[in-house]
Amino acid sequence: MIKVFVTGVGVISAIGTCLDENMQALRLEKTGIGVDKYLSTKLQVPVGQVKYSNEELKSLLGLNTDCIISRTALLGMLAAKEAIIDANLEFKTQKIGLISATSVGGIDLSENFYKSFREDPNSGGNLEEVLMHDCSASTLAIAQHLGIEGFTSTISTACSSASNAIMLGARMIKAGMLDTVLVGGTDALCRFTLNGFNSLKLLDEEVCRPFDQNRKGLNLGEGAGFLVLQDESCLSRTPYCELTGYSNVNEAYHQAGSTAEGDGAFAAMTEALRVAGLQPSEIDYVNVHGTGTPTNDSSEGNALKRLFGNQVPAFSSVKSYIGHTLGASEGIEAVYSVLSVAKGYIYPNLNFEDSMVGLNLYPATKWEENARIKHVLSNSFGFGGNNSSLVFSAIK
Amino acid sequence: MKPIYINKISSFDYTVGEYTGIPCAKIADPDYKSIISNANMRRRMSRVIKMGVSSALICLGNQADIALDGIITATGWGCLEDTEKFLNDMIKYDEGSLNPTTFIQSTFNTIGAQIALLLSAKAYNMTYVHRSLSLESALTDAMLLLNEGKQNVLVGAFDELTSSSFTTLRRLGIYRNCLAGEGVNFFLLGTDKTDTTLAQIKGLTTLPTGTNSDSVSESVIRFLSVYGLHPSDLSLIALGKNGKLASDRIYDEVISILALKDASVLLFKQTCGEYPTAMAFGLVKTVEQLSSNSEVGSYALLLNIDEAFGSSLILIQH
Repeated sequence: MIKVFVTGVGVISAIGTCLDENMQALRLEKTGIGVDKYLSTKLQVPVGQVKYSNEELKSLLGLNTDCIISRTALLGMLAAKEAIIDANLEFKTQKIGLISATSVGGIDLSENFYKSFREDPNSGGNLEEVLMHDCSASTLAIAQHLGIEGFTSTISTACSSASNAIMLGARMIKAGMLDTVLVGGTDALCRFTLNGFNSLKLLDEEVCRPFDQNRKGLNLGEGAGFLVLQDESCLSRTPYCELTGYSNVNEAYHQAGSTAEGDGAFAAMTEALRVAGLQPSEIDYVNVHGTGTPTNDSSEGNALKRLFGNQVPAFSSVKSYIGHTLGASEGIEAVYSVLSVAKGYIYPNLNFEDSMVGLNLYPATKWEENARIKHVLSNSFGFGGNNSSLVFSAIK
Repeated sequence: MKPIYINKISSFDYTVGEYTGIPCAKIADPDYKSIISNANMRRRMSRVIKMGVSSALICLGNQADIALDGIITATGWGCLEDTEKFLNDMIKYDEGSLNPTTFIQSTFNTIGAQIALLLSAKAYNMTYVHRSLSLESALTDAMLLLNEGKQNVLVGAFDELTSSSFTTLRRLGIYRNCLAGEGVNFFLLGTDKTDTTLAQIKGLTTLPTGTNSDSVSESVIRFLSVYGLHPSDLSLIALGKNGKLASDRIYDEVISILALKDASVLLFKQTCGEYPTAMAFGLVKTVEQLSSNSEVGSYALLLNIDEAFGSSLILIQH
């Protein structure tokens, strides 16, 4: 049986443009959620925005600041590049692949295009702003920036997109189709998703409070997170950990909601444990999806109780640091989960005060390091009932 | 790798449509009411969702209760109509209070999710959005699943043409010398041969960007040799020729380099037009032609060239 190892990580989010900055903010309990600077939206809601303009991101990447490229692609390029450098990779192997995920693609640009286009379809709007509308454009930009010429793919299953990209990469390694693959996700904040979640009345007007009895909703965020997965035979450095479990299930209940009992979340976690060959009691930490919406957290909480009974392991949501980064969320949070296994980190769940009535669930609220962590379970659940979980394990 | 059988197929007929007087290939919309009986769900669905869901239901036919181990969808454009409606409302009402339905239905996984909802299919559910290689990603995933021990996987590809997408892509020059198109096609794949089995997928591969006729021909020969085959063993070759001068020339040169023997040539984009998942229609036509006109055991190859994004090859056996 081929094992899948994590040998590189890269991340950009509202709390930092690289791994070290992210870890530092998590340690210091510094949220990245605040006032919007770059979107020019009318909505007065806090967001987890990356603290650089598009021009600044282009400079960081060494790109011409005049080029028109989606923020989704820019964020992805930065995180993917960090992961490649971290993994000490050289692009000599033909089999290196890139599987990226996004839920918005380049709509941050096409919403500008469309504003003029709708007035005058035959000549309105700058066509360069619509070239990156489709989801694969950001993947192509990352591949070209990093010189990746092997297998590429793009996945979009709403908020579980990046988890599915990671899972596909692992399965392709296990099948012997790839030996090294860059996997993760990227999504930029845009007015489209901000208004979408606002129309669903799911946005908190303050910093979100995952798993708290008085939670009001989620904050949207942006960023990207990538992992380098490798087969044991071609490790380019000492791995962080092993990816032992993954799952993709559908709740088949509602296009945008989940069952109160958390059927989908329960099935996703159960299946990931089955693939990893682990008992629930062997999980030491759960990075919960924990968006801060009333329904997600109670349904995920119920699923935790069903799976772990009264022995729920340490768990927390990082959404009150970075917001819900949609298609990128499991890319970023997988990076955090990998570090949790490698360094024994447990991340504080900010803004938690009161446990949800009837559930008696208390997330970790203090930063911990050197905790004894062998196995981490990480959840992401999306629209369309697309639920996924991953398991990262310490190397035996 | 286990053999992968195409056990069922669904595809819709085409009709000639037009935008601003320019002809295009449009799906002849079937009577969706008779296919999607859940009126509540149907009423909320945009056209592409109805197209996708109907095609999936028709593909399963009287086997709607089959235990599906996966639903895998592929789309280059996603749900354009819902995306545009929400975007339009957002601008029109200046980010005021908006109807969430179009937002919810704008996500790329909407059709895969709606099929899962209608069938109560709780298994694996995935959506690929990789432009002209979306179908190829979906088929790769399906082949992986079937090799991991799963038995029945539904794979579907869809892209709709809307007035705005046509206008935008025409302005970008995509339809110069090239018929605009759309399409929806579903396939029920399995590891077991059934009495409805049409063909077997032997393998598929993708080629990097920036191809020329020499590199494509080499790739075809190398790909066929993996299966112990030579170009002269092919009974049929389906080409994604779309009228674009540069790529059409590559196809022509590849055909002459390959020195095919008695292979017939199928040009499917003359019917379905150009759209990101047109290879799915090519696959349907290839399987239909191969299974009705050729001997059992004969081979067909599909070739689609997309110099800017990546080309692909699919090998089919009757």
